[in-house]
Amino acid sequence: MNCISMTMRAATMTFAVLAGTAGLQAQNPLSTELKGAYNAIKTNVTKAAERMPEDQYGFKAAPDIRTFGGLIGHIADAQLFYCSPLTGTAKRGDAERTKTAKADIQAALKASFEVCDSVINSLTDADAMAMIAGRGGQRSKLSTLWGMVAHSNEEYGYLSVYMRLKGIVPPSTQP
Amino acid sequence: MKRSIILLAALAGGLNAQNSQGPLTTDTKFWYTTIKGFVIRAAEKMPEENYSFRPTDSVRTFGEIVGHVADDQYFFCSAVKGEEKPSEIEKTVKGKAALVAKLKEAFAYCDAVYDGFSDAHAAEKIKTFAGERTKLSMLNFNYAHSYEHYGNIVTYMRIKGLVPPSSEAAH
Repeated sequence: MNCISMTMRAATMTFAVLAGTAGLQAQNPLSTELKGAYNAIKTNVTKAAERMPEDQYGFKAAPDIRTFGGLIGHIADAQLFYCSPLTGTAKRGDAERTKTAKADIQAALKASFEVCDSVINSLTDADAMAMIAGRGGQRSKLSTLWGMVAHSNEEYGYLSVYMRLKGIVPPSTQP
Repeated sequence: MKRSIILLAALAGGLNAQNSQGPLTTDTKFWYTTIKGFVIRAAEKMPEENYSFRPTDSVRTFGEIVGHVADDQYFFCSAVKGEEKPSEIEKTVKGKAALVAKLKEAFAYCDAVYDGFSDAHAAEKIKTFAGERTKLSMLNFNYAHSYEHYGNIVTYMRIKGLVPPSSEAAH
């Protein structure tokens, strides 16, 4: 089957990741399933960043769209935006605007995942239900973090097309 | 990033005030409704002649992505609803008018599921092909999956010189 990004096979793999955490699942199903979806997109984005050659980090599929490196930097910045307030210290990233070298962008991406890891890996269902202050109101930690996963998924949807345009199989199709 | 901030502000300020279904469901419906609007408007905006466009041979056409998103609305929402609803729109439906119609029907099917949901059902388990899952996570995974394919759609539209719906306000 020729297709891009998260095919049903990739969706199956995501669910398989979740299936491997049965013990935790029983105690904290909502936060465990969030963690599975987060780890799936974390793996895909990290591998995409690794797999794309450095000389393609400046590639963009059209004039009015981000470069590949800009997309990775944007994911890093957005993850800090979503996750860092949940650590008690809100941070704003500037990777998209200031980083151009592959190694620097990968480092920023890794740092953003470490912040999100620290939030998501310790999350329980009781904690996930907690409402947190945001811009203009309150929302649950769970909803905030699922929003982050959805945003990273969207950006991965761009990355996978960029990779295909360069003849590279994206990690959601070929881990 | 600016769009993310706007979305979060709208989420926090607007919909949480009307959370008779509970805060988790209200937020889930917000993300679902947002991506539903983006995908439908993108499908309507792309000219018919570009429905067969694919930027490279190894990927879906634009029309196939629209069909795939429609199929997956049935896949995830029927599981939460507890009924069999197999769908092969991607494989069997061709042409912009038919695909847009099928896409809207698929989202209407999911609308009923999201509208009938509440936080009281969030942790209820359902059987999936990969084991038991909570109903809320299936609904969350549905919109997260649609966001990924919207990323594909945006790239196709940009290659064709079109502004995607999520960026229209900035132009």
